[in-house]
Amino acid sequence: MSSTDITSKPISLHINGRKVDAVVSEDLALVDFLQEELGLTGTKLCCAIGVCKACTIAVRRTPQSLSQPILACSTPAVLLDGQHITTIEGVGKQGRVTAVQQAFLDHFAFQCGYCTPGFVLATNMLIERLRGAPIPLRELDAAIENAVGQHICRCTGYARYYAAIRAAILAEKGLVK
Amino acid sequence: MNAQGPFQFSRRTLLRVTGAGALGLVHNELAFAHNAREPLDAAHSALQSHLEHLAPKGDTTNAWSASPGKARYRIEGVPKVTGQKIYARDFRAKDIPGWPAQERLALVLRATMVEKLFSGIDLSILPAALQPLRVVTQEDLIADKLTAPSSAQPPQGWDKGLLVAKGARPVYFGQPVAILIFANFDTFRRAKKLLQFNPSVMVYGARAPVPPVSAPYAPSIFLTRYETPGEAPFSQVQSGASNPNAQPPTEIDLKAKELRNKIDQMFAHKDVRSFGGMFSTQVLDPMFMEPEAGLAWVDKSVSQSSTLHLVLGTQATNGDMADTLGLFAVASLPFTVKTVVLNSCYPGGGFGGRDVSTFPPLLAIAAAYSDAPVRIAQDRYEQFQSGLKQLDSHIDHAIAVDKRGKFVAFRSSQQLHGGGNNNYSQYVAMLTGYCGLSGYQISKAYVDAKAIPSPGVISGSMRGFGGPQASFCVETLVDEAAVALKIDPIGLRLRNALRTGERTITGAPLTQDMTLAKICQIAMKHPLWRDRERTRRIKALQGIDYGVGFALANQAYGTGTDGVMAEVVIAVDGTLTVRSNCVDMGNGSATTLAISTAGFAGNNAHHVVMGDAAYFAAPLAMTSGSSGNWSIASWTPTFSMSSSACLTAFHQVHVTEQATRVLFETGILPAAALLWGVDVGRLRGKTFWRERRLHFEHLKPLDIASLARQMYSQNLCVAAMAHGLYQGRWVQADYAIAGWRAQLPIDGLSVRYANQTPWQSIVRSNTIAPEPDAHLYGRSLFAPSGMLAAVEIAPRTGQVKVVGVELWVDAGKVLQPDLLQGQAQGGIAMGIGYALLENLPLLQDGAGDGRWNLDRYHVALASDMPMGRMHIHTLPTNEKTAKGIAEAVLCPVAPAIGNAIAHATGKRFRSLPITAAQIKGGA
Repeated sequence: MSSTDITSKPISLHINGRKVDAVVSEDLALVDFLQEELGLTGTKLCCAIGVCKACTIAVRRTPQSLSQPILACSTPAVLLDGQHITTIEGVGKQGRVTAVQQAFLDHFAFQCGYCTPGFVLATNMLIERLRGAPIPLRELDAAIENAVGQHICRCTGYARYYAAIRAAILAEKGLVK
Repeated sequence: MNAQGPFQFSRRTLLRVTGAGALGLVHNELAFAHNAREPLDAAHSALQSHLEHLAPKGDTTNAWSASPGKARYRIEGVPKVTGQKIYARDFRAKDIPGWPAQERLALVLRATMVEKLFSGIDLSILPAALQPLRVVTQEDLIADKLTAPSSAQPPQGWDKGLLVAKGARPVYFGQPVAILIFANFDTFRRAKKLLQFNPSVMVYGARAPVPPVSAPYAPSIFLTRYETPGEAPFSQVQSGASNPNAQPPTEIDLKAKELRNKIDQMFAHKDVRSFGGMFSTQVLDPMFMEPEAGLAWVDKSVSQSSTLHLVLGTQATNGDMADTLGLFAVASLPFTVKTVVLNSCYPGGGFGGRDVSTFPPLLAIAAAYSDAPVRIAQDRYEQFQSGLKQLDSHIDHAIAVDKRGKFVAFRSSQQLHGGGNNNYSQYVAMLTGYCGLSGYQISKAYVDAKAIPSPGVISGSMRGFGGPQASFCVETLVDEAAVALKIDPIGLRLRNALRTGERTITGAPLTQDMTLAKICQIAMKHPLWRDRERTRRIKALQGIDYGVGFALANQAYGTGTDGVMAEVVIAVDGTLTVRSNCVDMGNGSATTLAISTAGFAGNNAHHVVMGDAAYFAAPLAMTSGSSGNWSIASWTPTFSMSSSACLTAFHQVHVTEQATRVLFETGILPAAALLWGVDVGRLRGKTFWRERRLHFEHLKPLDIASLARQMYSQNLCVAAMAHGLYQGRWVQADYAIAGWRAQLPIDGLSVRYANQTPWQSIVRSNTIAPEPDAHLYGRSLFAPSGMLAAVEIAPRTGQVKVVGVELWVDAGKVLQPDLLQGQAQGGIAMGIGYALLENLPLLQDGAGDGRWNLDRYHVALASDMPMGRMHIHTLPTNEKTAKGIAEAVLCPVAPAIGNAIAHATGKRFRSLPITAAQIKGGA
């Protein structure tokens, strides 16, 4: 990105816990910034118009605030100046998979896997919300539908994703009343 | 072709047959596949290093592996769930060792109309800084003698060429007109924003009406089957191929015509009731999640022997290498491409849409004209505009039913619209023809199936490959007949279901255990079916239209003539590696092959290398082609094929098991004999694996690491590579290796010893070839399936909700239930989309206009699925082998839903998709 470009802006944000300073075009989509500038290709581009949700990432205003799902395909990187972003590369620590990722593995939840990072991030955000505000068990299916119901998966028929998400939530104490 | 019958060539051998010259060039010119004497040269070493680089960082502990023969999770699961670089779209030139870091980006501009002459492109909207470095046009390709692959043939009499030439009419919507190569991603991105959707970029001239289509994509198929007591049976297999319209006709053609007249007369017989009409299905997009993307670089450091490197996610590893090398066969560029190196990545979905896609040749061309590695990464609009489509269908079906409810005559005229290049269109239509009778025994039947060219986006392979089209039509018609005859719809199917010993429409004998009737019997007793009227009444009281429908399918797996291969290697530490030329599109091939070593080697593999298409040619040293025959010990009719989800469970697993078997008999067992101090002859057939250790009588069990060390120290066989050929049965032959002799169901074998690099090709003898008429079977392997669907419809809106699914599939031996269930659930989702949601116009306003995306093309979401009320049942079986079910689980879905809608509303829909507006408005 050229710093002399009049449509460019300096931004400073945290990505997977690392501070990133860059100058980006105002119209540069976050997914392109992640992939082309930072080499973070785990955030997947599919429709690029915000329909399929494959490019879902988690964004917090502050390290303490609740994560919100953001579509990296249709969100300009400049709008995330100052925010804290988690992509699939930032999920888990020291190369170990998380409980959610393990549940996806154990349930054979995905096939081609291209939509999987988006499902992982969306599930993590659901669990984060449930940690702060547990729900009755009877509302769990609706909560899952609300969290990932608009995510497109062409391979699986969704049943195994939903079963894995349910299992991951029920395995953690205190998320469901 | 007619002399030998038009049906002998399967769809996936298309390139071998029609492009024999091109593929010969691959085998001769690809350095690493040159011949058996030079198995691994520098080029292949380079490929290997790339493959290793591209290999995902998985869990090295083999944590994916469960007990032998089972997986805890997918072998490639960790890389996928952690977002590692495994798709072609993830790689950049700088990621790949040995490549220049500088990377260009290419944009393919495509025709958005077909009724005007193409005058050129106008890039004046781009400021100087955003102009491409290079614009590649058809004029360049002509001047430099780059030739289109055999899978890119236009309709007879229409202009030929990969790109549209100036002054010519675009042959089809979405045909490329130019490839623009930009300096870097930034200029590419900015330029694309200005160019995409801008009507001024593509300049058209005078109107030029689309010329009439003079002929279908060849070959069309004409099947006539007539069997009646006292007369010699007539069918493709029993009498030879026939074409009632042939000019001049042969004797058999005339006979077919006469018999068809007799069949026509049966429809007017007073003792039968006839049912029939026109049915149609729509154009679909496979809509795999990862839009096609790839990297390519021509290494011109040695100009007279340049290497084209490709990074691709493809189902057609062999076809893409042949096609891309074929582009340069007679080229007059400043360099000569002699080698193609394909770095095969995990595709982000395939569903057939990456089986000889139009994308790889364009990428290769971009590389040829680029001064550096070049990347093409299509967005979804471009993917819709250019990606292979499912052929639509227009089918005139008729069936005659006697008073006992037996189907006595059947006829079908099937027209499927292909796009503006042939691709696999004719072979899709061929399978629609083979599937015309679905799973029914009708001894008097005829079917014509043609792929009609159109100026639509190129169509070809997609999941089901012609089966879903036929399935919808025949299963809707049978349901109509049952309702009219007041016979239970499943009961009518049961009376007519094909049984073992009967014959298909081609006259091929059904030797496998046919379970169609069993599926009908089970479905009839299911509460969803048994209680459907009662439930309908209850739902009606709630203001809901409720219905239950059933459909049967007898989808084939395999292509009729299937050549497959696998290598199994044991390392000195006892870890096993399976190598395959096939690709895992998400269907679970990699995992399935990794657990396929367990039977003979007692352990799952640690590693699987997928998509290694060129590796096998030299070690196996086989010849192929229509000029050979089985008396030549190295010959096979089909060496390699594209990857298809339905080819793993039966075909790929078979050769993996056979390679493992050879490794066991010639390496593992001799090592055990030495360790135990007994003669190997005493052991054969008497050892067994338990808990990953080899057991024999009271002797101390041996683990595979100990055995491997012995194999290496004693220079025993440590690697085996097997090639199998299935045509009605596996070709068998005798093999002798280091004192072990056996008849094996494979037609090619090579082994490698611990301390020796070269492969030893084991010459087969006493070959047992397929039945002489097996090439006329069309298909001979079937995975019967059936589905009950329950729907609820809101009368006010006509909105359909599938609320229950019971799917039965005869999968044979189930290898990994989780993979099978997932495939079936995905098939149901795709079938719901097919029935209710997905639709693309063939021509005007279709995907070729470049304005289609997922806001307009609706695939099934979770809310479209009957979550918690979707049950997959595999039939109990004694079969020792598995079946490919990827397509079988899709075929009954749409007709079952259509029949449920008819049950709910009383309205019959003969066209897909069935929309809410149609339901509100009536049929």
